Amino acid sequence: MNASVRKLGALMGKDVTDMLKNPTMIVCIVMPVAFVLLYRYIMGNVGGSMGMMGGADMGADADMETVEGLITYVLLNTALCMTIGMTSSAMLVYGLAEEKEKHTLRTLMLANVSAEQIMLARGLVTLVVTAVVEALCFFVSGAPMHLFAPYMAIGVLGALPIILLSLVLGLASRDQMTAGLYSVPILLVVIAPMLSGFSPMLGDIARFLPTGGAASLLRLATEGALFGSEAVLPLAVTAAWIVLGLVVFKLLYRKLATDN
Amino acid sequence: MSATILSMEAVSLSFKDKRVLNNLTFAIPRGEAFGFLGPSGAGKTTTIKLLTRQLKRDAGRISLFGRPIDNATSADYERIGILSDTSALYERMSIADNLRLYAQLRGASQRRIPYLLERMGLADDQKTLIKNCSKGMRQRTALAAALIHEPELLFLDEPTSGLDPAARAEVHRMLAELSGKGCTIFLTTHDMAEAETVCDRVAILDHGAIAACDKPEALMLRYARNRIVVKTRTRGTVETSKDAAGAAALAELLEAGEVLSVHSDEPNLEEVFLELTGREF
Ligand SMILES: Nc1ncnc2c1ncn2[C@@H]1O[C@H](COP(=O)(O)OP(=O)(O)OP(=O)(O)O)[C@@H](O)[C@H]1O
Ligand SMILES: [Mg+2]
Repeated sequence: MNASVRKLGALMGKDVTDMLKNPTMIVCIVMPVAFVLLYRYIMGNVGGSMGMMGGADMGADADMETVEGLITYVLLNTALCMTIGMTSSAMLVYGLAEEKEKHTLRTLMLANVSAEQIMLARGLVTLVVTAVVEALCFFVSGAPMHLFAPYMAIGVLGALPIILLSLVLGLASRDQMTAGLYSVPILLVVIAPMLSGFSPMLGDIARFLPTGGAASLLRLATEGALFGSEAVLPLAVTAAWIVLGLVVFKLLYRKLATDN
Repeated sequence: MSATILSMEAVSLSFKDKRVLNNLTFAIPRGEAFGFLGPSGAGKTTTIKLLTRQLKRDAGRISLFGRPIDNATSADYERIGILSDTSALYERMSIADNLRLYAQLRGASQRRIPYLLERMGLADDQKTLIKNCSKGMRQRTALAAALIHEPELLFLDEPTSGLDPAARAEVHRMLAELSGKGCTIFLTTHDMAEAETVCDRVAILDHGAIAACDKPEALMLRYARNRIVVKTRTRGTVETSKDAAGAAALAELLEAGEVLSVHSDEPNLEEVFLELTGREF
């Protein structure tokens, strides 16, 4: 037990050091925050004019509230989708693929470090960094503080299945080229809820994708209806993806880690 | 004889239809430095992979610390150090940081790091990032990482490849010291002089089978051609044997005033190797 804690600590320290010195990883961390900032700027302008238009024929107060609620939802949803796509997925897949390509993964295992320990360290570091980036995105978005706790809970929950699947994808990548290839479909799946405003059909599908549950929960949270019966389905969707992620991970990681 | 630390008994391995290792048998007692020689593709790295559980054998028995390898525990693997042909370090971390990582992973004292840096001639470069290191610096760092926890059993796959003669000699000295302290060493190399210097016993592997296995001196006695090489004025290079007939031939050349120089062709491992494998390497 003592030895595994020591090894886990060493691995996590290495993962963090390596991440902070890797420009690609820094991009994966900075990009979501920059994106939310950009979105806020654009939405702020759009929202302002929408509010003014609405104010002409309706109670300005009530309408401003709805518009602001919608903007908050869009910003926070963008924050989660981008963070989970870039930080929980792309960064993780890329980092593990590099360890495979450069043979550092095998070298660790020859030093009596188990695949479990390596995966656990990567997963934990990714989860913590995801939470930090999500929090940064929240503050940058200017959303009201009472949403912070539910937003963070939803963000961490929504990141779990993607982290599990990304661990598997990272191990399955032979090199960083393959990692880039594998990251694209998962990124599209992850950001689908962000794009669901463009088409109702996409919206219907996106609700059942890995981050779809989190997006629905987030919408309920901004509407103040997180603890109602409507939350059951998105929670179930998220839970189902976490279980699926666990099963896929459990089935594949050992074989993939020891593969040449 | 002391206890056997590592052994293979009738071990075979195929990749698809290709037989790579054929009926390998050897046993290595504690404290022995055992050299595994053979041409490229003979199966040296594959043998190390079997012994370190990176591959599964098709047939035969392998034992580690006196027990079947399939029962080996994590505690057993803490007593082993491995330098593989693909051992790699973290590019964006310095030499010292890489060693610190492995010290922490192995639960070894950080105090070993300055000692190993010094011995490997890396003390002045310890802050250099691995991505800025030469091949030899990387190799020495990887070797230091494999030694960080003072293993009882060492697997070294071509440990001195890419090293300059001075570094090579220092590594040989270190291996001799380790061996003297009871560390068992399983080493592959293409350098016959290295095998002669470092190894108590060598096995020569050819096409996945052991062609010979003995002390280097014994092999040299057994396989070396006992020859005298004479450079002559007009008859080119003449080879004769070290016996009565050879002596007579040499006397004749001397009388004819033909002899420029006489060399005794001392037996060496290289010659044994070529004799046994019939190949350059
Ligand atoms: N994963 C693999 N799949 C198929 N064949 C393999 C595999 N690994 C090794 N081989 C084959 O096994 C044989 C032995 O390879 P090995 O790497 O053990 O040689 P070696 O003695 O270490 O050579 P070198 O001195 O060049 O390092 C080679 O013919 C190689 O092509
Ligand atoms: Mg080899």
